[in-house]
Amino acid sequence: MKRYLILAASFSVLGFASAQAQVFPSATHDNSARITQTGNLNVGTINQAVNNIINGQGNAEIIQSSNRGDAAITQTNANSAVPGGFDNTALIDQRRIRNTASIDQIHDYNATRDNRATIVQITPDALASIGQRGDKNTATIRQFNTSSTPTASIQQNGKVNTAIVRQEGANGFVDVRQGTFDAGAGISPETFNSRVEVDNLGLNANIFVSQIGQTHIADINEDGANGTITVEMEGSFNDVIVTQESTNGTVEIATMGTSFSNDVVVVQDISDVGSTARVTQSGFYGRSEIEQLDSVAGGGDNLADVDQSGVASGVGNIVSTILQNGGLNDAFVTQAGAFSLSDIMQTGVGHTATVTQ
Amino acid sequence: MKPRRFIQTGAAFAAALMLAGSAVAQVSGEDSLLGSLDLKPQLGSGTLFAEPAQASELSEDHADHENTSVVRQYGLGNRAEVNQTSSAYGAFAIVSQYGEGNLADVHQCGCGNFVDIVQDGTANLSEITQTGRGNVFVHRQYGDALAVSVTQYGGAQIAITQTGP
Repeated sequence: MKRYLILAASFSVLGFASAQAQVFPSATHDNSARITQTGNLNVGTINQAVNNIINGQGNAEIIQSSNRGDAAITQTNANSAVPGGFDNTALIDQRRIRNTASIDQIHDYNATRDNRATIVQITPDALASIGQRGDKNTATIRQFNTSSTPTASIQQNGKVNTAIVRQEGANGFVDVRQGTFDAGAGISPETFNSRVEVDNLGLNANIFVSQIGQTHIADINEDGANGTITVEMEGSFNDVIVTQESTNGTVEIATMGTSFSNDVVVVQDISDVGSTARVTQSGFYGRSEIEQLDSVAGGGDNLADVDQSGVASGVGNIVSTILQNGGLNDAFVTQAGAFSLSDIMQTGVGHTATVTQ
Repeated sequence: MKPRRFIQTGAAFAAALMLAGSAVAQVSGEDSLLGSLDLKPQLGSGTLFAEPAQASELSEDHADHENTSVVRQYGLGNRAEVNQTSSAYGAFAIVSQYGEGNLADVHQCGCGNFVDIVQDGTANLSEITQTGRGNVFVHRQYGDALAVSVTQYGGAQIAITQTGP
């Protein structure tokens, strides 16, 4: 086992030369570290800004071509004294089998620059996690091995953050949470304008997304059979767009608490059979669109269930639209408040539409 | 880009109502037997109601303050059930079914409710219950072996057309 431990950002490896790196903290606040490992059971760790001491702009990379490798990058800073803000960049690239990667980045709120964390794993049984706190962060996980069981986890707190997961392989698991990550010093004052993008191409996927705050967007695409997608939102003006092009899919979307004016769009397409789309919206206002389509033939037996318990003040505040074709589809709409609008269109045989207002 | 392919608000919703209306436009000849079946304008003005108090309950923008349900089904053996019991200003329901062996079941409580049902095909069944004042029920069935059951309590208006081939 090879073990590399790089403490503080004042350490230069493999071409990331910095004459100021011997001064701690760095006078120019730019630190670079790279680890390259080949073999089995490798562990690579980069920790920039140890003990919460300012080291500013960090650049860290770990490249592992190994079996059962473990790579971790920590770039931590709160209450930065670097004028004009700073940005950290972290990359972990892993190939071969059963690798694990994690990146933790913490920087200031109201930063003018962004943190960027990227994990690329072309390995079966991949496990990746990214935690970011602060504003203008971008976390990207790409797991492209087509064999099995990729796991991706992203937690972000702050404003204008983006979480991106691209996943292939069966039995994939995705867990993205925005607005809840609070590791390290300080607490998050607010979270809004964040975005989640998930694209999964494997069978039996299990995707969970949680967003708390305002004006978030969750855009989820899932193309394998038996996929399960769960989205929870709390806040206002949030949008969820789910496209599931497979069979036996399950989509459950809930906006909870005092949520305000959240929108949901669910499309389950390509000879959709046996799929379920369940939307629950509480608080104030809410709009839901569900399409369950049989684009080939022989599809059906789908369920669309919408429960909108929110309060409205005018026409168009609470809207549910459902479009189903094929056969034996069920559509249930329950709208508790006034000014509710339900529109159900079903084409085919043996459908059931039930509206309660 | 959000694929709002069929969200209906504002003008789009009005288009939906027009669509439902146009679904019965094909039988305008039968409508002439009953006069105008488009009772909703009269509903808004309150002229359909025997009790003057109704007019004050229904403002000019009454149509904009209802719960609304639109169900459109094309095919065989479909079932539509609409329960509107919680609307303070009256509910509005349109059920259009094209095919055979369809069932429409509408239950409305309160004042100023409106339901318009179109069933085009054989062996269709509709069951309507309206409770309260000033409710309006418009029903059109086309085909054989049709069945309709209507229960109304209060000052209700009803228009039913059953036309065989």
